Amino acid sequence: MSGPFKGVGLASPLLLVLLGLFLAPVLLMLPQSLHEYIPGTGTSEAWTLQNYTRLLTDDYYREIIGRTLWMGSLVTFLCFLLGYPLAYFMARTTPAWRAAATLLVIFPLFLNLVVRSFGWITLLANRGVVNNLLMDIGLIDSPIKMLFNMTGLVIGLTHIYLPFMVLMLLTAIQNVPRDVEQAAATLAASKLRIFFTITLPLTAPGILAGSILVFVLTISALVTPRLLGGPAYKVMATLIYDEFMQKLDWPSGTSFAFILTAITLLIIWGAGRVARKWSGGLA
Amino acid sequence: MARLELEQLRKSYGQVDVVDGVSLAIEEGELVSLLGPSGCGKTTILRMIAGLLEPSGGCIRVAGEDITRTPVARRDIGLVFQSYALFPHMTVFENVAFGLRRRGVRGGSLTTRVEEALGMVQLAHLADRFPRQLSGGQQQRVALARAIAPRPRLLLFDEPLSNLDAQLRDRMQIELKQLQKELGITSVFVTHDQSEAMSISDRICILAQGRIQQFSSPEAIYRDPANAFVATFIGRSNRYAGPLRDGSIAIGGGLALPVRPGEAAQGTEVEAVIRHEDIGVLPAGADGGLHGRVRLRSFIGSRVQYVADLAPGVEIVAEVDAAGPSGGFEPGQEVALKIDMDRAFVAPVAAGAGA
Amino acid sequence: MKLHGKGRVLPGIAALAAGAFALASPLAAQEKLTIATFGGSFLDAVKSCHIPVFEKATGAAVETVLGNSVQHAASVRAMGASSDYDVVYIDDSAAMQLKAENLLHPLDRAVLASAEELDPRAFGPDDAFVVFMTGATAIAYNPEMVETPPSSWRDLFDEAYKGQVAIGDVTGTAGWQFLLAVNRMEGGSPEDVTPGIDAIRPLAQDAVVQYTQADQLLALFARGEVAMAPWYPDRAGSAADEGLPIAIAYPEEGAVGIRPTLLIPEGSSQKELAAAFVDTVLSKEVQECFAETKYAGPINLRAELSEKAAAIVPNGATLESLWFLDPAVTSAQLPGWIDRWQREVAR
Repeated sequence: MSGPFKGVGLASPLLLVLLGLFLAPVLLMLPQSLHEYIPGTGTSEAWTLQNYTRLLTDDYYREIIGRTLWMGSLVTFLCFLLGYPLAYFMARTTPAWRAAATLLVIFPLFLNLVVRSFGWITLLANRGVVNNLLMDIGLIDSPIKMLFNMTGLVIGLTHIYLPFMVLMLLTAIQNVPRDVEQAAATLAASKLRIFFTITLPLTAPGILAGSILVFVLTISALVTPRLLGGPAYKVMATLIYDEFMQKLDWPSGTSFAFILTAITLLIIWGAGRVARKWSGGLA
Repeated sequence: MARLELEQLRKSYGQVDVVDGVSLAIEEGELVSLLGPSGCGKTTILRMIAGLLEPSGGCIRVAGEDITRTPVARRDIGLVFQSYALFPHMTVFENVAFGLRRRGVRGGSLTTRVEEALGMVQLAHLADRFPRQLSGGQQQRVALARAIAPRPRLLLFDEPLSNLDAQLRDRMQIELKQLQKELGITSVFVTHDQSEAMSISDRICILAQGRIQQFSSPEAIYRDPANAFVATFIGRSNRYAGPLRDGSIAIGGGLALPVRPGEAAQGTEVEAVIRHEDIGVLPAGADGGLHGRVRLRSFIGSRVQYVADLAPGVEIVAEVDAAGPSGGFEPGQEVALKIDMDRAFVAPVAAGAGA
Repeated sequence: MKLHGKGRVLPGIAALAAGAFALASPLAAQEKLTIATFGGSFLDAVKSCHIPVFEKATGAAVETVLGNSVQHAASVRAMGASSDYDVVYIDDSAAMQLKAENLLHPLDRAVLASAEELDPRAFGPDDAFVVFMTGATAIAYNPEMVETPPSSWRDLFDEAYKGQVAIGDVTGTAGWQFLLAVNRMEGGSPEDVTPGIDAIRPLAQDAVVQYTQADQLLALFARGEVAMAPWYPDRAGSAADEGLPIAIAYPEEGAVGIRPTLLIPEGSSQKELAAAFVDTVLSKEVQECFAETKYAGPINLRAELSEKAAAIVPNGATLESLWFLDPAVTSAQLPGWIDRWQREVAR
């Protein structure tokens, strides 16, 4: 071993473990996705790409893909919008306040996902807490439908993934040197301008990491979309689950899972490029 | 380009006064250093002038205008940070243009003024680089260009050269002084390095424990220190203390240093501060010298430094011209040490600021 | 204690030791059988009728894994040649699917003591599985809200009950069976469910819920939110026993028959014990127990029903009128029905 391959040699045990643990099981599924599933008979022997083409040509599936990505984007954006001010406050306040706020942010993570989702069902149902309250004070006449549609999903998922965004942003904001912001102030920049031209771009790596994390977690979430979306309002994760567990059509489920992975990777790559450009190569 | 006045400026955190009633006036176009050991309040004063810290009391005036409560962004004061504090996500050009844009400079005149500022620090060719692609010295220049580009009324430097290596620091001191004179911008320079303060400043303000110890020209501070603290802090000195008897200080080991009449009352405890270069080293037995034995000899370029024992437990350090007749004594040799007491600083112990 | 101690402590220790021995020795040698079954009130009935009888007869211990038919099918397929499950409760179409994939161990009628007593139609092709009860998808209704008991599937479409009807999601048995029943009523066939889809679409829009879990209906009936729903007589019977305002009606077009089966995965390592379990479930006494507690129509022809159970479980005339779908057709067509439902009804 010498030259450029020396490093590879040193890393190879780790590399093998990672390949064995993560990549191999995924690749083992690949052949599965290339056969047709015939109900009543089983998986056929013949090779085909139809599981992939079907997902992209059938407008029912396209709608689900679109809905999933839209849901991911909305949740990510909302988490960012709600999380940034919170993280900013936490980064710039006294240590005592920061500790208290961190505890509050992390606390929901200790609760079971199912419990939290059921909590939202109680709140958002047609005869739930929110609708009853709104009707009691006379703001609305009939319940607003907030379950089994995008509203419910986005509310539930934003609540669940907000802590991840806040923690990522907190580190990023804490890493912004105060000197640099003060330098901008001495150069006659207002507080608002300092925030938008200095602080925000300098936290781009954190925003990117937080957004990718929340986006990926959101579009792959299963429990919350199942509970808050019901059987009919499907996203990719519940669709894949149903292909496996309700239709027993594993080839289709596998191919959908690969397409979801491909879309995810594509979006991570694209987001990385955009953030890098915006932050002058910092992200 | 304006006169800066501080009047009874104070900053306290709880019971601790970090800056304790500082008043001084800096003339138009002057470069003044705030010099002192760490914790003396010099950076605090600078940050209060810049507007990054709110004073607990007192008043800051620039060109007669009270700016004590003016927000940072409206002070029109340039600040060069110790850390440079460049905007890492912007090119050199954009860094320098930042302050100009905030003042409404646009288009062709923006380009001209950025290039002019970069030209002054010889970096016009690196305008498109990002800060992380530059060396420390280059980043320092960008920080300087960024601060001067909007032509502020006042320039503040917060130990700007402390992160550079010695050679580069010497060059930058000269360039910085030249540039400041060319631009004629009133400047305040914070440093803990006395030789830097000496070489760069028109006047030096020496601070200790939040108070001004002395505010005069480098020469005056060196030659005529206002108190024991300044005397010790500036230059390298021997320091002896003892009771004054019969016009001499008893410094132990049976030795006595004669002082000028009238320096202090008979019997009081006094101290004498004697610079290394104010001690002549002569062959043993020479007239008017104290007898001593060389213990160490260090060659420091053009000078030679001796550490000699006058008596058990009484040590003296002297520095002489390496090329001169006194440059050649070796450790163990007996010598005569002739102290120029006219140049020594002598005062009662209680009088000086304790340092 | 000191005075009376000897007399009490010694037998106490002896009893403890005996208890420990009694606990320890079967544990060491006891065989373990894993059954995959359904949850809710069904599990309660399995625990009171099936498991104790089997455990007493064989000395083996039974572990239960819960899920629905399709989940069990997915697990059996995933585990393949080394199955953790020894006996699986599963609906007949999922059983047919697994049979087609050669994942089942055929039952040996010779070792099943009650084989001769069963309805001859109970065994699947090649004896791959055996039906252990007859259930149905009929109409559950709230007698406090519905004065005249419903007599037809059409009653669910009655304008008077608009917005008070719940239907099952297509992935549940009651869901697709209701689809097919309506479809047949509207003139469709299992190969063409368009008439059924078209008829159900507006009903689904107004439905209180499209339930995915059978017991979701319990709370809705209790709160009076649902007047009628296609549901199972056995569940309705259990719910009525709990005091819920719920009754069952068999539509004149014929309720849809459900034939849950028992099967032994090819991958099971306890095939003999598994067969013994199947035999227990099929025996006359256990069938009667299950009929009385779970309102399951017995498949053992010698089983006798109480009057109360006879009113609920499919038997006699209601059994005669049940419509049984061919599980081979069902398993081949179900994914297609699910697809169409999801696109055209639920969307």
